[in-house]
Amino acid sequence: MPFEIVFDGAKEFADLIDTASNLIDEAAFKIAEEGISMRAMDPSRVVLLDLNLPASIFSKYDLDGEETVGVNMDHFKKVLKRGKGKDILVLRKGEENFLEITLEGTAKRTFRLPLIEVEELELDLPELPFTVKAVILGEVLKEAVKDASLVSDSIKFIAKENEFVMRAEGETQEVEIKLTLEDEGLLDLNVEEETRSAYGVSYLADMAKGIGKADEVVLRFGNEMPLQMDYPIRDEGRLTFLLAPRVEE
Amino acid sequence: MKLGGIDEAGRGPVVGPLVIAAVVIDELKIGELEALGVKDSKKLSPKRREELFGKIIELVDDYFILELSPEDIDKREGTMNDFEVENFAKVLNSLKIKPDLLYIDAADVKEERFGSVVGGKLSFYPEIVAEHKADSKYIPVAAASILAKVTRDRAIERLKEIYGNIGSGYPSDPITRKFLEEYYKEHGSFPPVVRRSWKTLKKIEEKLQKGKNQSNLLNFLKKP
Repeated sequence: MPFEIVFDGAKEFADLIDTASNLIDEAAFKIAEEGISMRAMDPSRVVLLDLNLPASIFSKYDLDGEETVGVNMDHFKKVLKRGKGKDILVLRKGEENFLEITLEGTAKRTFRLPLIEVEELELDLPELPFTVKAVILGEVLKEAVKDASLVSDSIKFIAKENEFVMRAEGETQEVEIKLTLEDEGLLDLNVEEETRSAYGVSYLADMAKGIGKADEVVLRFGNEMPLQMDYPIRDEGRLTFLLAPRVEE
Repeated sequence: MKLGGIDEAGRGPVVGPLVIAAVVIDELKIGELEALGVKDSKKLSPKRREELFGKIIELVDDYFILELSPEDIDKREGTMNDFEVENFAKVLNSLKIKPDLLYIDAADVKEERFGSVVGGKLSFYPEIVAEHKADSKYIPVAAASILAKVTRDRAIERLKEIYGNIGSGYPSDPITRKFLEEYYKEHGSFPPVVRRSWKTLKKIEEKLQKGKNQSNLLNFLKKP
């Protein structure tokens, strides 16, 4: 079924797909009345991605019936990366099995990407008994991941009343990132009980890659539970990650 | 005039020794080496190389073979290039009969630099020709390459008797990688015959470590 969707800000869309492409090779995007959605797990089944872009964040959203399009994420990313910050992105599909990607700037540049068969992930997001909800600035998370990567491949999240700590311990070096509500970087903190859980730094680095410094990132986790990370896209859209924890040796 | 040739085998692999060999031969006997069929070791079958090994040793005026263990390689200070220069010089200085003209298979990207750096470390003063692919251009280097390659092959054969199929020992060889991964999984470390300073090993280690402590989402998704 044909569709034509316009997004103002090709670069922003490219960053989103770039982030997802670090974790998954191919994806099935569901194009429906209410918006675009995509759910996928990385091959090692450590990270789940759930993308929701409501029709309201697009400047044009025309479709003729619901449809799922499968794309190679690496190819999709490379094409989108050709867009400049101010370019307008047009995603179009006719009757043929191609996705047309137009970058409108000083010229209209149109790529045609073949669509591929991708199995949709039939899975509901689980309701996990999280005991912590923290809202932090994208910048804090990005820097914390870089700090941690200097000393270890895993990072511990520790939440107490009024305090959220990220700590990485290597064989000889350590780093601790401490946040209280007095810090600019911590916008909200809800702790039901003292909670500790550890996560792989390289996965977090992939997840944090596309986050803007000023984005408000919502983290939810529990004792040795997955980490759920949400960040907003144009206020109403959302990219959610679920990351399985590291376990003690 | 005495001609010398020097070459190495096993610079790239992650398993087994690096072998450096040098030969010295009178220029009048070069024709005999050629008649034996001595050429670049890579162009000869392992069986043919093995046959030539004994004949070369008989014919040359002098030779010296140095086996450097993975441990020696890991303990090195500086780059692999520095390490090779050091040991090329060591091998050449160990020759009892010194060549007047020396052909070197250059390991450095800058072949002349490699030649002059090695030359500067020698206890004698030959004329030096350092080139890439010298093993296919100069018979003394070809002879040295055969001695080095056969010595390394023999070392790998001994390892196969102990460890089973370890492949070629090159990091790109899937059999070698599989051997390393399985050994690591079973013993929690790599066998003593591998070069720990190689990135390949660090990557394998990282991957396996990660797998060990990293849980999987399926455990959490299954729960109602």
